[in-house]
Amino acid sequence: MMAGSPSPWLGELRADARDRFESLAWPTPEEEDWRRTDLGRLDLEPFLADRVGKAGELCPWAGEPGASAGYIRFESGGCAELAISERLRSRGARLESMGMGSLQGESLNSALMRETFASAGDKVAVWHFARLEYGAFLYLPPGLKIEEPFFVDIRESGAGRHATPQIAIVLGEGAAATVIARTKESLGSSILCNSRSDISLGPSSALRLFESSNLGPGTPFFQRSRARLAEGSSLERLEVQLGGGLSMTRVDCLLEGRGSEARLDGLYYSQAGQEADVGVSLRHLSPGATSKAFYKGAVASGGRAVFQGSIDVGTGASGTDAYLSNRNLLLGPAARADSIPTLRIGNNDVRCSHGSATGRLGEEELFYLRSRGLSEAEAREMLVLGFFEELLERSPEAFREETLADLRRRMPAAA
Amino acid sequence: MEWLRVVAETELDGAIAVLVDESPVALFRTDEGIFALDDVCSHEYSRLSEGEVEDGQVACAKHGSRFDLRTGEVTGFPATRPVGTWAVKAEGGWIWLARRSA
Amino acid sequence: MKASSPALEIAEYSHGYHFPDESVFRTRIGLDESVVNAISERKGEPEWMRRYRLRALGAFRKKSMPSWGADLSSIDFDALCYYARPQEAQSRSWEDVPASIKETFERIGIPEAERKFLAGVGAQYDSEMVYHSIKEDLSKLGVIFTDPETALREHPDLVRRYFGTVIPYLDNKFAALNSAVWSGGSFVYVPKGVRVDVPLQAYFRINARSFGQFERTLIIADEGSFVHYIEGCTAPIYATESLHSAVVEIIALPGSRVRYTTIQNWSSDVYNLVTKRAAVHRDAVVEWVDGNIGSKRTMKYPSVYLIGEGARGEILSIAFAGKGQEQDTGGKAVHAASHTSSVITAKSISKSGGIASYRGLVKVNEGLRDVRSRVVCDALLLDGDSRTNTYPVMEIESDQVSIEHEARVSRIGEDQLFYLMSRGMSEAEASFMIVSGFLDPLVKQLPMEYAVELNRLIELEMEGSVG
Repeated sequence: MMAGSPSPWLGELRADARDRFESLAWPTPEEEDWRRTDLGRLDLEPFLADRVGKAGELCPWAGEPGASAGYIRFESGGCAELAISERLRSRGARLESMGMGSLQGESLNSALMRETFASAGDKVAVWHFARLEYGAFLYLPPGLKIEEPFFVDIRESGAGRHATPQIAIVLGEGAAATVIARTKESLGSSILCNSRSDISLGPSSALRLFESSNLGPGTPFFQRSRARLAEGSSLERLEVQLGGGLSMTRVDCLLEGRGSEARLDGLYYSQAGQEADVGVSLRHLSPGATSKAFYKGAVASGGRAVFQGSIDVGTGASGTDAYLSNRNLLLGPAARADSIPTLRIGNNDVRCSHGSATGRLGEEELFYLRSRGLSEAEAREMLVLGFFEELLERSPEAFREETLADLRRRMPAAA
Repeated sequence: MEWLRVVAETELDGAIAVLVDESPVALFRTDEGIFALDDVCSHEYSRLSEGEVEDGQVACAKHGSRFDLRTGEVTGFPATRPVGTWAVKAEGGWIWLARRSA
Repeated sequence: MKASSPALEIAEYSHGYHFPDESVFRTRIGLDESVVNAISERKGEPEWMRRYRLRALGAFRKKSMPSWGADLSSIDFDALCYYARPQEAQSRSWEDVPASIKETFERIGIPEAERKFLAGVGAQYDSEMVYHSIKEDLSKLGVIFTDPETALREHPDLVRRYFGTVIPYLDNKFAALNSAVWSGGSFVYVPKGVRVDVPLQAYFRINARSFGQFERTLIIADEGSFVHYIEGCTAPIYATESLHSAVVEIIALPGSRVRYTTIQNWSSDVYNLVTKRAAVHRDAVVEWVDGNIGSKRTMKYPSVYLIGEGARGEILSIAFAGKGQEQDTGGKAVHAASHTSSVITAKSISKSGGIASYRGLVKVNEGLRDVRSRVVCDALLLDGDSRTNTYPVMEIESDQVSIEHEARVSRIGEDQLFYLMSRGMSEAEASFMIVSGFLDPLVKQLPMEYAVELNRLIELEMEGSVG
């Protein structure tokens, strides 16, 4: 473990990002990507002050992890715990706190951060880098395949806290890992969360990533995820978006390597007063890649969700097989779901399609469950959980159970 | 009804936009009188205060949706929903607005 | 068709137009108040229409070009002529007509008599007899089928009540342009309970106004009536001006049914930007059948606004984008009442670098019950250079709904081709068969002679794509 102050690259990146941040204007609904989310409705002033949390402190070492491969936990910007199996560490695996890791880890982390910073398109995305204070970094060397999951737990609390969690994952050629990342906001807090996940998969590597966000009802939430897939690599990701006030999340998956594969699933639930703008982009830049995206959302009365998914196939991406699906459940009057699936296809040797369906809980199923003695609320809850079932089927048990429990908590007597 | 004092009468010429309790309101003065509508077109959220007024109606400048100034009823496509209206009066040199009860 | 040539005084020339000779009339190049006034005066319009045109001109100037859609950057508004009397367009000789056009006529099987007319050559197609007998039958039923200028003169109240009520001039830049300089088109009124069994075809209305630059069409189907209107034809139209911006408004009153079929095959230099919208009242049905084969750029999204309970809308769209073409088409369904349904079926074929894009909207207002919508988009890419895009938007604010959308992109399958060729077909024949099969569900919806012509046209286009 490294002792001392955080690596200089972090401060340099923040400074560069701050310059770029100052030079940009806030995006407006006139811009394509922000058409459905009006930033003007948020008061971002309180969060512009530069109050850095406890970053720069060393992570308390927690010893050998139990059943997992390793875990790292953050509390309001400070690293609370870090553990990684010594056996894995000796084989070259690195689970570190950004800025405070090994030489090798820092070098890889900074390279990835520089690259994703260059790709940051708008003021909100750049803001994350300008305020970057902490993050988890995971690296697996070539050939290392690990079955037990790594855990990244991020907890935020406080009044007026500006949280910018970062998760960065780099897998070497032929490596394989499973990561469960959970972000939670403590009750009674008022925060703004602007987070990122950045993934770089080496050839033939495989990552299974399960990410959940569980935030307070009024929290402005921005999240960008970006993944670059090299030849033969595969990414399986499930994102669970719960809570938040006005939220805007984007996943950008670049299938750069021949024969790479992506399976991107998403689950979102909008309660009254919530507006979720969920986006996923599958970009086929090379031949023979496969991608599938299944996004399902449920919107309670008074809530709103927009799904924007796109499949882009470049002229060189022959042999592409891509499919995108969006299903929305409207749970009551005054619920609104918009669905915008897009296809941009520049090669004819492809199989590309998308589907979108929006509707409500089935009358017959509800009736059946009521006739078995369930109350209206219980019946509705059962059907909503059933609706999300297929997305959670492939998740690790713990993640699945936790998500179901979180969903149940958000479903009071019906919608 | 709680009347809120909004602008001086002399300021209202044609159509203007005002903010009442954070709600955008479009005020109109025509030969038929003074009118007040929510300043948000029910089609795509543009400002009705920038629209064209004629024959007791306002046409939204963005796509031409028309609304009756008195009732807020939609009278022309592409909007298909009405906009809210406000009670309005001129008194003591000022324009006063009050929310209509639902 | 007799052409009227009123003798004009020299004094009238001071309004900014000129008369090179007596039988020819056109406004000068470019667009301003004097041109709009000249057009209105020429047509002898009532004051309210002239004012309407001028306000539309103001809107045209203020509005910006769409920031999405096909590439329109090379339109030079100042270099166009905005009004030319029909005969002006007929000043070509048969020798000047390109061989490719003549060949297309031959292949599609256009009757000899029609070819010269379609190619814009001298004499007009004399379908006077056909037109007259149809006209007699229609007037017995009380149906009005004429051009909008005549309608404005003979049925002013009817026109005034509905004109511009479905598509206001502020709707978009090109609707504003049309509203300022519109000329020609059709006006159709069908009285209560009347079923017009013969499709009304603008093509048969003899004069070249049918293919005008800025056609304005208004169709009013009164309660319980039925009419099928057909616009355009499969034969390529050799246009004189390159900007065509039409507006079509349909009012389907309760219980009525209107079907509007368009086959567009403008020549390859034309920008075809059209606004089409139907107001569908209680228990009424509107069907748009929209075929886009020609033009350099088309932007057209026939729409149905379902504003009465029980209203239904259906949009069938076929687009063919060949070399240098961009077809940006689709449809919109806005549900503003309960118990309404919409179906949008869009099929496109892209070849030789052509771009076919679907753009659509399904919108359901809040507080509605029993609303159903289904959208299916199928795109066929015939070669590696071609492109397709699909941009659907669903905005759903009621929960008592069933909204479905799917889109697929594919190419002619190797195995399909192989199978057909193993039955003795050449690759060209096999490809054509597969493409025909792809389009069949829509082609079936066209009147027979159009279906036949369309099939031949596709065959002709396909020949260029194989080998």
